[in-house]
Amino acid sequence: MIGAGIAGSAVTPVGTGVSRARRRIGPNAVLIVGLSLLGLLLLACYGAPLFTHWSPAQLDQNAILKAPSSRHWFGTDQFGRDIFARTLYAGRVDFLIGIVLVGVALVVGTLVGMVSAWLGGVTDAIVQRLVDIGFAFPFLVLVISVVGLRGPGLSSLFIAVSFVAWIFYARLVRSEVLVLKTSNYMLAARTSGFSTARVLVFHLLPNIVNQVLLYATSDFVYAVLLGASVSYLGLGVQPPTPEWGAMVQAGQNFVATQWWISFFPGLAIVLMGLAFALIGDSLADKWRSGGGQQ
Amino acid sequence: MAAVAASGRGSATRRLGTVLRRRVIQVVPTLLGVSLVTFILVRLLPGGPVQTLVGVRATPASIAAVSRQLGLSRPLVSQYFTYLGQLAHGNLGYSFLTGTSVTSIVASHLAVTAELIGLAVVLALIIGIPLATVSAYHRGAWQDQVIRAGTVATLGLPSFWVGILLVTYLGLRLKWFPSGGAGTGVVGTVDHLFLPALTLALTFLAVVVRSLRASISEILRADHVDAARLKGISRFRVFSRHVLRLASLPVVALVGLNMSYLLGTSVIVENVFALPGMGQQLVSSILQRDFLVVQGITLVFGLIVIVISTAVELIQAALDPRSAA
Repeated sequence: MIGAGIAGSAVTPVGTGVSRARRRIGPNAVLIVGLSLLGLLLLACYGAPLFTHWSPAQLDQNAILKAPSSRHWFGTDQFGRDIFARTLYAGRVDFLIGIVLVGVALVVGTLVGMVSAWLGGVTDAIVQRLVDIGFAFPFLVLVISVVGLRGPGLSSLFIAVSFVAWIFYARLVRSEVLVLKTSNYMLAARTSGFSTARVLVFHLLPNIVNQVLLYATSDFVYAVLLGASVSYLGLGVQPPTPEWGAMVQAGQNFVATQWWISFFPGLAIVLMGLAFALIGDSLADKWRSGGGQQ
Repeated sequence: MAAVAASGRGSATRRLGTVLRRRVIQVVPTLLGVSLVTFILVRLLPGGPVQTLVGVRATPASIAAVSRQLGLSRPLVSQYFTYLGQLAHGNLGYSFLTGTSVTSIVASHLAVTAELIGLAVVLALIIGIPLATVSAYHRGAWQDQVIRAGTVATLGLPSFWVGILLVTYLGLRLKWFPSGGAGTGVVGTVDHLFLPALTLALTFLAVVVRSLRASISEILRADHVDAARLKGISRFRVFSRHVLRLASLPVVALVGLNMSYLLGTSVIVENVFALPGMGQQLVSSILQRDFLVVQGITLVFGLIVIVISTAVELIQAALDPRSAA
């Protein structure tokens, strides 16, 4: 998302090439590591009450700015709140942001891309111009401007992102559909007298869905980063709701002496990002080296 | 000989002319679209821009008066054309808080952002080229594996967190670098920009390494590199004269294509380090609800991306005739 602008960084099959290297370790091992890491993170976040008895909002006057200890594993913040509990509960919010951002962009972008490529002509030209305009702005700048002007908060973030992020999926899907449109089986489907909707949903969609999901996997990293970045700037999730980016920001003033307030939520983002990067990278490798190449 | 060179240059100019013309035709609708987006942006304000300006307790009469004064009571289309006319004269509006023109606000903050991005690209290349080279020369070996794993890991790094860690350890603990603000003079500027630029470079590194690794390994397989090796030219010379030179071409495109990303991330980095660039101004104007400044800066960010991608396309066409086709 933020980095959906990063050309060649998402695991679209551009530029990297299949490495013989990966065959030795194997994409499967990388995939398993990524999935296990993700599984552990989700378990920790959604099963938070199993791992900590602290509540993320519980203030404690007697435990202000305490260093990590056996009582408070990740220490406490300036209000005496337990950082470990807050980091775990915040994970739910960040994961939800990622799901919503990617989900909306994926569904809208896929639909627009498919229809645009299928209809061609004026529709396609208009959609293309919209996509060009979207790409002309730094994604993050447009998102924070929209969020900032509408007023900070999660709903603004969701609106801002759905306003812009679909263009990445639309462009990807459009180029796929343009290729498939002329293939023999599509011709067969169209000449069989099926309705356009049926052709698009049952014949076209299954053939592009792999590509789109692959892109979405790597995009998830950026969606989480985007949510955290916007919240870090004070424009996303508002206190007292725990969110990783906002927590990093809240600890920034204490970082010289109470490093743990910012450190642990940031580390959580890194781990979440790593899990999705590993999953995305190994799926891309598998896809390139095998089944995906039709 | 001279005639050949001249005609060669002539065709190169023609080629660039074609690319430029085609590009301008594409860019005009995009520019209009960009201005339309920033125009609409301000109209998205809850309660409209005037409400934001005069405050929630304003009377309907005062709202109407301010609306008339700002031309906001006219139809949207006519407002848009007024806006376009102002833009054509380089007028981006005025800050509601200070009365300063947005153009001068942008002018005074642009340099810092440009320096930050420039230095970040240089740092990313200084770190990235050796890594990509080692990776490409040892394709499949442990060196390649380690570098690939390392760069995949950097994909998920939040720039703000990396920035804070760098400030804490290299700035505050070790005192190697200043921890925020902007410096004066060349040395002072680089000194103050080093940590922010390093932060930005680290988030961009994965892209640089991946792309360069792919292009270097492709070039290493090319016939002319084999020929150079067979002639007995030293490994280093083959690398510097043949490989790196060809691999530098995609780098131009890489930086151009990623300008959008670099600009976006620079907003966060500037806010972490309190660097007085466009990104910091954007966020502080948002927090102060100085919406014409927000509108102006957003527009300028869009213009920068368009100008740079056009420039990159022209440079590519000049360096590599195939890309102009």
